[in-house]
Amino acid sequence: MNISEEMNGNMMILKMRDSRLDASNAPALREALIERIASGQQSIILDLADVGFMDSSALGALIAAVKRLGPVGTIAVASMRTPVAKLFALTKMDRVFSINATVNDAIKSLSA
Amino acid sequence: MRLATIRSTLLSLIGSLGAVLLVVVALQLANLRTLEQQANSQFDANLARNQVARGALALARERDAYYLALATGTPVRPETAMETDRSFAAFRIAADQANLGDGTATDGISVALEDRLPGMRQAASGALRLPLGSQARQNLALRWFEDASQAVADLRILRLRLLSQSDSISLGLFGLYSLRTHTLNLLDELMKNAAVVEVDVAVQTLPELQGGLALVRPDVSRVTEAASEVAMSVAPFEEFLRALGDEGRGPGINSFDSVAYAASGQRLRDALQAGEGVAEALADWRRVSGAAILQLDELQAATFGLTQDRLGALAAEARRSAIFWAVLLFSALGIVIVAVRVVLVSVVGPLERMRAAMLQLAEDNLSVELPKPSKLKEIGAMDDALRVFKANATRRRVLQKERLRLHGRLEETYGHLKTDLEAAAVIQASLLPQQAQIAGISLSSYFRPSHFLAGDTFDVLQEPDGRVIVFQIDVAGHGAAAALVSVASKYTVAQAILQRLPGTGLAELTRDINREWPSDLPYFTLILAEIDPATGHGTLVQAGHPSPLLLRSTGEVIVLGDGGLPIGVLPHATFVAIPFAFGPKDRLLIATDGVHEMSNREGELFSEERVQDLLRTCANRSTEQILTQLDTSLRTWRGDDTLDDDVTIVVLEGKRANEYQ
Repeated sequence: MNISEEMNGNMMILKMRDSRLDASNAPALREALIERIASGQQSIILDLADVGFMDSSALGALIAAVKRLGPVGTIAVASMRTPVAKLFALTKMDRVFSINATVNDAIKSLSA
Repeated sequence: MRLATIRSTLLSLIGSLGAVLLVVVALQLANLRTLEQQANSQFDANLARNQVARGALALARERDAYYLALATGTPVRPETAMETDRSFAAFRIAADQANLGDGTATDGISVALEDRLPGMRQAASGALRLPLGSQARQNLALRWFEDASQAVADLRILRLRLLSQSDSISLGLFGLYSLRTHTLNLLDELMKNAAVVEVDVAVQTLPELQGGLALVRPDVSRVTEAASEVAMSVAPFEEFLRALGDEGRGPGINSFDSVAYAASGQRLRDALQAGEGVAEALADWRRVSGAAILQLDELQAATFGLTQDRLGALAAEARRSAIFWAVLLFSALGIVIVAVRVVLVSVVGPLERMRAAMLQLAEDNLSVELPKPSKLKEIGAMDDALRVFKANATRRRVLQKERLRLHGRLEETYGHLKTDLEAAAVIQASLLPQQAQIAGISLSSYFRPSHFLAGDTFDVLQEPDGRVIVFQIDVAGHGAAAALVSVASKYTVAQAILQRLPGTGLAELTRDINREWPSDLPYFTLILAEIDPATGHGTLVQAGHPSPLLLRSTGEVIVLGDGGLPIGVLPHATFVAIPFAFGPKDRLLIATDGVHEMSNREGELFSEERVQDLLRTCANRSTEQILTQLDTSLRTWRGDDTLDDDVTIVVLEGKRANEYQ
């Protein structure tokens, strides 16, 4: 699991460097997110610009992270490419995550 | 010899060293042997030459004695001639001993003495019977004197010839020999002088010889010359002379005072001419001359003694050196033997044993005995390395065995697991309705787990009023865990359907299912569809599942729904029911995302569009043909039989009115 991390105020921006998020790396993704949440992160922005494909296993990892975060925290998703956007649309994930066109939009929406 | 091994290299080096040493010592020993032999043969030859010299001296004395007897009537000692003969006999013995070889020496003696001497002696004995002072006796005296002097000279020449045959120069004895030769010559001269002077004095002083002969006159000037000549000729040998003096062998030549000798001779001549004081002058002369003769005799004897000592010392030195070199040779041979033994025992042996052990180890024979540790540091270190190597190899083998054992256990376990999974997969597949005819609906399915057990499942149920309910579930992930969850979800959904209160819509049913789903279980996606074959009216709820496709009998493909939350994500989620018309020959195709998300080798997805296109082109084919075509297309797309995700397709087909009873 290749993730680059960057802080903006109290927001953590995680850029997914893998082009595929699927059953093969979903457990690692889940672990990476849970770990950061456990260490106190409450506002996490996932930059998915590099991700060309995501399947239901990876989506499950994101959902597990949201569940772990609880009502006080937020996970925002930014820069989704079409296949990923389709998955999010199909599963109505806009009700679970804050969906943004760019990372800056996500920062703004989380700051609001 | 090829120097391919340490053994041959070391042995040839040591062997070469030993051989060189052997040759050097052998040459040295041969040289010393030659030197010793030379010194010994010189010793014997010198002894023989000494006998010649003594013979010459004895003959000279005999000559002087008979000359005096013949000329002046002085009585002769009877043993005089015997001494001469004894000397010659001694020479013959010494010459045989010295192996003088070619016979010239003994021939010389024969010529000088045996042929001539008896005749000379006979003539002299006859002359002694003639009257003293007679002319005939005087003539015979002179003749005897000359013949005897000639014989003495011949002996001297013989001695010089023998000397020239010997290797005196190489032994450093040339000086001594020369000194002796000169001394002998001088001695002869002095003895001659003494005899001549005596005769001359007698002729002039004895009355019975008065008016006698003037044949033999004293030559006192000759005496003086001889004295200074000898003094000069021995000058180069001062070194030896000093040595003689220091060793107490004799008076040395320095004690011969040539000036005093000449002066004494002169005084005697003056006294004879003056006719007075003759008795005193004669006494003085006799004293001086006798002393000189004695001194020179001692000197010649001393030089001989010195020469013999030196030759003896040379031989002894050669023997000592030979012993030294022989000891050196044996020591060197001993060292070579010890070195060879040390090399073989301490170096080559351990190395060869180690090499043999290494070869055995290389062939994986770990039971090989390692050689005993060596005391030599380097070999000891190699030994230690070999021990470590063996220990490592043994440990490696143990580890390898352990690994193989674990591998075997793993394979066994995997075999058990696989058997279990295969059995479970058979059970899972058998629980799914592959083909079903329910009321006016026929169900066909296509099911391929990606790894034995699938997280996908589906079922079809009939309500008491004739409505047909079908649902398809996809639990995120696949394998045994997902399969167990899928069993739970299937049970949950089926129970919800069976316990559904009349009037409850699918949306509410789904909402209840979602609410009841334990939040610690993975979420799943769901299509829940209900068709009333009697009315041709259908409804479905889409919960995160891909949109079902409705293939109309006309060939039209309609995508039903645009998504919805999966079950188990948000507890309070709500769902919408999507109505659709489902007439005879219409087909509803519900597929999990494993279908359109199947990627080929380039990572490209099969996509919903390709599924729809395929359905359009196959609209007039039977459901079975469509599923076969889908299977072929998916396998072709994938390129092999592997799967990333479970693939499940359920097709419901409405029957024609005339087929429906």
